Amino acid sequence: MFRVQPMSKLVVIGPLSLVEKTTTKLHDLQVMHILDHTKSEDVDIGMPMARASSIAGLLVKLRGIAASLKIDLAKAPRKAGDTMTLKQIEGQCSILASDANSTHDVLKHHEKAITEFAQKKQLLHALKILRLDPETFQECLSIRYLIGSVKHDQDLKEAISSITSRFELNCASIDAKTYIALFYEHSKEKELKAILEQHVFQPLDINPILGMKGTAGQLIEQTERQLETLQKKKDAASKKQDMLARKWTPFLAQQESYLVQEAEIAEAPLKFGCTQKAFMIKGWVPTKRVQDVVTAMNNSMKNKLYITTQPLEEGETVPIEFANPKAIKPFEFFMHLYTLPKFDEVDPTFFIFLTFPLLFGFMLGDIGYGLTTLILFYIFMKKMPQFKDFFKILIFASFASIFFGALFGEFFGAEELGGYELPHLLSRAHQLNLLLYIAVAIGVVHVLLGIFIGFYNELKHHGFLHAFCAKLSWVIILAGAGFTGVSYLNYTSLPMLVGFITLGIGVLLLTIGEGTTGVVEIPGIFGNILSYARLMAIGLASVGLATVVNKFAEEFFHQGGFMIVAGVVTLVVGHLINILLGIIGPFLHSLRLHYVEFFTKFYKGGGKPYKPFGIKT
Amino acid sequence: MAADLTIPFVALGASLAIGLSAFAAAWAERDIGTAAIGAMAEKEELFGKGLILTVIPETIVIFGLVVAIMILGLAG
Repeated sequence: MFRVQPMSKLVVIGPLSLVEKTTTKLHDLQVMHILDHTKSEDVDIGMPMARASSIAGLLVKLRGIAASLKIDLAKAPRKAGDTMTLKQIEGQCSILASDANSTHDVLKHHEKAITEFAQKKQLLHALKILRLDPETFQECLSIRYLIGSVKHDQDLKEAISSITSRFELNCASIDAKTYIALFYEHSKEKELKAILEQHVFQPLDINPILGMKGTAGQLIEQTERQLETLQKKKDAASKKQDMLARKWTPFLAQQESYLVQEAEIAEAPLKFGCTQKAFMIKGWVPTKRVQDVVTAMNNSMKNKLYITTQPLEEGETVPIEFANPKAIKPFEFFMHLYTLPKFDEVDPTFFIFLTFPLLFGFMLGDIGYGLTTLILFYIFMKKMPQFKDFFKILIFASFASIFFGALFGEFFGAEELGGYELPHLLSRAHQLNLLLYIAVAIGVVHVLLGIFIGFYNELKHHGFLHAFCAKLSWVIILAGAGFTGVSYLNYTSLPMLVGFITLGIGVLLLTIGEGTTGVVEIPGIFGNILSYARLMAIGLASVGLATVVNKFAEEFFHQGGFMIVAGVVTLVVGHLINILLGIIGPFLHSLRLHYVEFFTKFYKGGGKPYKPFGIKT
Repeated sequence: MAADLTIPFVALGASLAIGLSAFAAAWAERDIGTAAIGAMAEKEELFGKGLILTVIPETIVIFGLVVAIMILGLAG
């Protein structure tokens, strides 16, 4: 519980002929965190299995089919079905690919035709408003034409007249756009183009409609009819595509998962060490399962493998798997959020499990709010199973809130219910100073707990003397500061000198243990402890807001009549907002007290997660 | 006779203690928060570290609050 799962380094050596069988067995066992082999002179990196490339090719093909059928494989539901051989999958994929591709091509073809016809229609519209027909544009030796849009046609005719009198200009405006068609003599082209440029001329390419017979109006109608037919054909094609997609999604999704898994097996030898005759696999296995793995491997490989454990090397990183009981497991969420512990550190999950809900509850501390959040988070947990761990933590926290609510005698901010005062040990709204002292006292206890865990960690690594100087010196410093304070306030007959001497000894020990950096951190620890005053501050804000809401509502109720409705609305909205703040605030602050004030006393972190071969991440 | 200004000044002192410290914390957190979000956009695992760094200046307000309560307490 206080330690992560012990791991053993396992080495598996065998003849190359067994590499495939061994890999498959290891994949099935789902227990070994395989380490990448580093190439050396004697032992090279293994080659992927022969089928690796065909599996990869098949995967690409399968994903290609899914893409052309617009299937999102990541979101497709996966059902366990019959396993097929690679050949069967390939055969099925080939049939499906030709179906999918032809449907896809037909669809694309129709889409392209629709775009073309729509463009033609637009051009015909432009001609129609210019009172021209496609037949008007004929190849001519001396006469040229330009057709397009301009920003404005003001003074255009006059400007052209000043250059030549032999021209024909049609202008028309539609939808805030001005179209022109200009027929002119070839010799004047340069000057005319310059004038048009001043009017921001943008030419239209009328090539697609050249040679069409009939008036623009008739042609538009004809094009519209063709567009309609094309649209129908396109709809039919996309319907067929949808049908194909619906029918084949389960197959594609299932085979994709299977192929990904097969590819993983086929490419695994890249992590192994290989000689011409043998292979070697190194990896981490939880110590408690080593015997199982050895037995299972030997049984299936008929004792043809050499399996042994290797001792841990200095400075080696061991993958981290937590070893917490089920009730504490959800709190590992906070460790993943921060950083995983190192292999040889105390795993603080259990301490978070103990103190996180308590600190949360101390801040929210209201029976009514606790009950509301409890019901809310229970519903959320059922609705969103993927965030189960997170909501479990909050359910623990809700129970703590109810507990502290009972201690403080608060129900939705009110300290009395139906005229009876709720029994309480401490009134948060009235005994402010006492609340502050309790909060700081909790801080002292929590920080001390952190220091003691730190002491234990140091003891394991550097022996008693260093651990004592580096960690327990903090306790002496705190005690010294405490003595001095108590003497100053005349609570004890001991002279202040005793406090100062204790403080001095503490600082001296710390300097020996941690050097000057430790001394620099001394003011920090008092800041850390004082930081727990937030337990009081946030709780007070929560009570304050609740009391204000209740007072407002009470005023409304006294006025009677319609105002009763207003009172109810005030109560509901006010308390809802306060509950929302009461979840966010205490959650973040409780987390912060753990990460910043508590963890800094002992926690280093930086572990890498345990990822057994065969388990999908 | 001049009015007794003790209570207003005590109240003013207490409110300045918490108001100014809150402002300072907000100012500090603004810069850290921006940087933390920027780092998270690059590397999402930094959420935990970003959160911690962002909330560090928050203690300033708590100190302000403690001082405010002490001012009120000492003044009676």
